Amino acid sequence: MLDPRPYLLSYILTIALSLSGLFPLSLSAIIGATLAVLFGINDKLFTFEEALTFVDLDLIALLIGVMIVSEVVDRSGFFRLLALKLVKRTQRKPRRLLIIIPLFAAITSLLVSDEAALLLSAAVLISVSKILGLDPRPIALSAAVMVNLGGTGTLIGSIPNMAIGLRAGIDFVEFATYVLPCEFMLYGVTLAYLFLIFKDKVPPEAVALTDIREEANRGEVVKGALTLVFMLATLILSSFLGFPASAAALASAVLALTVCGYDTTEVFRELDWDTVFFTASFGVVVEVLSRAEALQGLSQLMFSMSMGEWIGYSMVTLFVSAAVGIVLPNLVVALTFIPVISGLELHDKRAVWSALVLGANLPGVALPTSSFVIVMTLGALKREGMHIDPWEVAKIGLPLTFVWLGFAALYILLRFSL
Amino acid sequence: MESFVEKRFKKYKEKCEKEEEIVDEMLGYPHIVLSIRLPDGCEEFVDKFINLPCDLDFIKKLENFIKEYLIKSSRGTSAEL
Repeated sequence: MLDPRPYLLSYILTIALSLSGLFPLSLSAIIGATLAVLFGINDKLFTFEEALTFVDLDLIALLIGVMIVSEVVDRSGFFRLLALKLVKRTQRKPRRLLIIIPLFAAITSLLVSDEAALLLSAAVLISVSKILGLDPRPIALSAAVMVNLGGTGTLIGSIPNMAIGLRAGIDFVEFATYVLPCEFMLYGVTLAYLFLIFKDKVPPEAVALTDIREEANRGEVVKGALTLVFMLATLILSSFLGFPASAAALASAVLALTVCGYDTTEVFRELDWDTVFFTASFGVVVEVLSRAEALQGLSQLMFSMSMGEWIGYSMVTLFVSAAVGIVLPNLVVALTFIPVISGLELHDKRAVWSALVLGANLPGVALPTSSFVIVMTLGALKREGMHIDPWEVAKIGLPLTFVWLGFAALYILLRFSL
Repeated sequence: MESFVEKRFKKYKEKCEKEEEIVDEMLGYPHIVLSIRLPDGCEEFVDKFINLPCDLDFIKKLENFIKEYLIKSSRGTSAEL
C-alpha cells in the first residue's frame, strides 16, 4: 500500500506557496510538481518519461490559442470602441451605466479573458467618469462582480471551464447549453441587485456633460472582430464536426496573428505565461496525486455525502467546490475535482460537471482574496485616489455568492431532472 | 487585507496604466511619458522622489503646471512654477 502523505504534502505545499506570494504562481506549482514527480519515481509509480505525459497538452493548446486571440482582439480595439460607443449612448443618464458597463464587462469576459474584460471596463469607466464628473466606484464594483459571473458560461470563458470541458469531453456548444441559461438568469438577478444597492450613488443626470469622442483604427477593429467571429465559428463547428476545441483555438490564433499583422514577439510577451505554467504544473501535481490514489479521501467524502445519486453528487460538488473556491484559486479547485468526478461510477455525469463549473467559478467575488477581480478593481480605483475598504466589498460579495449558489442548485435540479 | 490587495495589484498595475492610456487617447486625451532623473542636491529625498508618480497631489500640481506652461508658451511668454 502506497503512503499518500508525501503526495498530499507536495499538493499542500504548492497551494501554500501560491497563496503566500513568496514565489510566482508558476514557480510554486513547478516546485510542487517536481516534488510529486520525484516521489512518484522513487515509489516506482511511473517513470520520468511517463511523467512528461502528465502535462495536459490539449488544455495548454486551448489556453494558449484563446490567449493569443484574446490579445489580438484586445489590441485591435474592437471591444474598446464598442464600450465607448455604448457609453456615448448612455452618458446623459449615468444610472444606465450601472447596467450597461457591467453587462458589457460580463459579455466581454464570456469571449475573452476575465483580466482583459476587467482592464477594459475599468479603464473606460475611470476615463469616462473624469469627463462626466462621476464617482466610478459603484459601477466599477458592479463590473468586477459581473466579470466574475461572465466567465462562467462558455468553454473558453475561464481556465477552469477549459479544463473541465476538455476532461469531461464536453464540446463548446454542449457546454453552453448546460451552463449559459443559468448564467443569463444570474445576470438578471445580479444586475437588478447591484442596481438597487448602488443607484442612489450615481446621479440620474450627468453632472458635466461633454462630447465623448472616440478615435480608432477602423481597419484594425474590423480585423479584430472578424478574428473573434472566426474563433467562435470554428469552436461551434468543432462541436458538430468532432475536432478538438484546442485545434479550433490554435487555428484561430494562427489566423489572428497572420491577418492582424501585429508584432508576434510583442503578442507573445503579453500572454500570461505565469498562468500557463501554473496550469501545466498543477495539472501534473493532481495527476500524480490521482495515480497515488491520494484523492480517495475526497472521493469517499463525496460518496458518503451524496448517497450515490446524481442529485447528491451534483449538490455536494457544487457546494464543496464553492466553499473551497472562496479560499483557493478556482483553477486549483477545478483541477482537484476533475479526477474525483472522472472516477465516479455514474452513467450520466453532465449535472455533476455543470455543478463543478458553477461551484468553481461563482465564489470569485465572495471575499476580496477569492480572485483577482476585486484586487484589480480596488487597485485601479486606488490609483485614482479612490479608496474602498476591502471588507465593505465582502459585505456585497458574500451574500451575492450565496444567492448565486442557491440559484445554481435550483437550476441544476430543474435542468437535469426534466 | 489592504496590504494583500496592494501586493497583488502590483501584477496588474502596469497593464491598468497602459489600458487607461489607450482609452484616454481614443477619447482625445493624449498621454506623454516623462523620464526624469533625480535632480542634483536631492539625494536625501530618493524615496520621496521614487514615490512621486503615486503622489496624487504632485500629479495635480504637475497637470496645472503643464497647463500653465502650454498656455504661456503658446503666447510666447516663459512659464514659471
